Amino acid sequence: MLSTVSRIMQQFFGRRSTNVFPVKYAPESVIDALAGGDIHPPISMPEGYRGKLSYDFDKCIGCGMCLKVCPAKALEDYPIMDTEKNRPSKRIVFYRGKCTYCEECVKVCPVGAIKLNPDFMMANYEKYGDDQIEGIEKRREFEVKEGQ
Amino acid sequence: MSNKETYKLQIGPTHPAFKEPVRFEFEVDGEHVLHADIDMGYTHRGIEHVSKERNFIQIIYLLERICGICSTSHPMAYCLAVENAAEIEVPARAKYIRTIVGELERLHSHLLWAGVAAHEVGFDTLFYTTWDIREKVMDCLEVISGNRVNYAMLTIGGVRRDIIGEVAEAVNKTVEYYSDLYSQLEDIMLNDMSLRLRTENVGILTYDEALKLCAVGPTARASGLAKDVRADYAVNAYPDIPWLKAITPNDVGKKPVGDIYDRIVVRVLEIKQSVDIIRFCMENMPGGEIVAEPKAVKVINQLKKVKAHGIGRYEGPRGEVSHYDILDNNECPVGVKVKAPTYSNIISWVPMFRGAEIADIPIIMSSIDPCIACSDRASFVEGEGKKTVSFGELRKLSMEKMNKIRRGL
Ligand code: SF4
Ligand code: SF4
Repeated sequence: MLSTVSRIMQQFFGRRSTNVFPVKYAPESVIDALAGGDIHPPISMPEGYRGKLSYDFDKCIGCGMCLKVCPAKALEDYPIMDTEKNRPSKRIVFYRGKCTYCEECVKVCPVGAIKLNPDFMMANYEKYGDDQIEGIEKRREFEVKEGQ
Repeated sequence: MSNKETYKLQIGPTHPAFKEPVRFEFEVDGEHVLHADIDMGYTHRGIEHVSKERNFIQIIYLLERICGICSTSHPMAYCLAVENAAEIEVPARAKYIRTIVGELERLHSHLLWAGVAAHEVGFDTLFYTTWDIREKVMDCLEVISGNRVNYAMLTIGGVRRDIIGEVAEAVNKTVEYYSDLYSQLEDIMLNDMSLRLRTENVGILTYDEALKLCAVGPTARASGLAKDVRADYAVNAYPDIPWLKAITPNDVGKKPVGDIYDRIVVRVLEIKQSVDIIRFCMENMPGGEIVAEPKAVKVINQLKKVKAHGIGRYEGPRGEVSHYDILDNNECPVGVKVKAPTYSNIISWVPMFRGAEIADIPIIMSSIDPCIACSDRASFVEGEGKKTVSFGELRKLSMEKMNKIRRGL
């Protein structure tokens, strides 16, 4: 009994185990509210944390191995013209909203073009908005459309 | 009594007391439940079917999502099944790492369950306490695997990350934390008067019923049925642990009754057992490789040449989970069959509810630690959504399906 009472006291006055959500009411823009800088990450991210995916367009050689292993089919390839080698090649875009952060593509990539970063704040209202697609700018710039 | 009418009480599919969609139809006489009927199928996702369109590596992450809590148990059973079919030898170190991750998962699952159960009886102080304690094991799993929930640690032929250096230190610290805390936890879970009053002699499943209804996991062990896949059909590092055995209430010198309190006893003792197993594994972990073939594409190509079938059995936190996979010279399996522990335990609800009071329905329901999403393996999409299939018919349907698979359709 006594131990229960002391527990209740501890829960009332002790340290909170979880982080309080940084805003009280739903803000106009969640992204702006979080970017405001009022919030510190809940816990320091351990090394090897599987968070936001990043892709290095210049390193990629277009081998397509990542496409083969991705369980969520979160990536899509598109044709480009490799000017250095002067032959057609492929590059990738990643749909973050579909990604399961399994790291399979990172392990399989022969040139280390894909990385999972410690960043975990990715919530967004638009599933297929530009900031939810990794590599979309490069695609707009370099994609070779049919008939070109 | 004779002029009294009984009433039908519907609870579910969505109800604040239930964590997942399942529908019960209770026949009640006043405050007492006379009979319970269970209706499943509200959260069927067709995972087994989708698996047939994914290659062997992709499936691991799909199966991981059958259940958010058993996110190692399902891939474990699947990898064991594929390794069994393709005769892949898992390196010894990988076996130990698999065991450690599996036991950490059990630890977090049992603590989560303790919180849910406490919440169901209105003991929210205990709910906050257990979930607070549980944060430590979640953090440890995050350090090991890079994620709190979906660990993605297993792959066919081994594991994906090693436990060395700082990670090993984090595991050791977690083990110490729970060893120090255990006596407190045991005291509050087993000796608290209000918890005892709500759980003793409630929701009884006798030894004979457990045996007859093929109950598994802590539900069966609380009824005195000493069955545990870890001890009976040992895989991973379990065969190396000399003291490992199925835990029943006998271990605290209590005759098993099969009530909810006994289920608490078993799970609390298993928390200690898990901590001991992790410590054993950390002390005795052999060196060497952590995976038979690290290149995923090579594994897929290797499995493409296999025509065989394999079965994998593993003791998840809720009981035995088994997977059956059929490989047929293809990069996708032609058949994946999942049997989750709750599937075996659903029917045990019927005797547990018999004679119970309405107020005890939520705690009895959660006492088997159900995972509905795991067990929803079939759903009728034609007709009125309901059909009763006789034993003969079911057998015929099963044989037809098996023949279809054999013919490679
Ligand atoms: S991390 Fe996994 S799910 Fe995400 S893109 Fe890579 S392979 Fe696909
Ligand atoms: S595996 Fe790496 S190099 Fe190959 S296509 Fe994918 S990102 Fe490019």
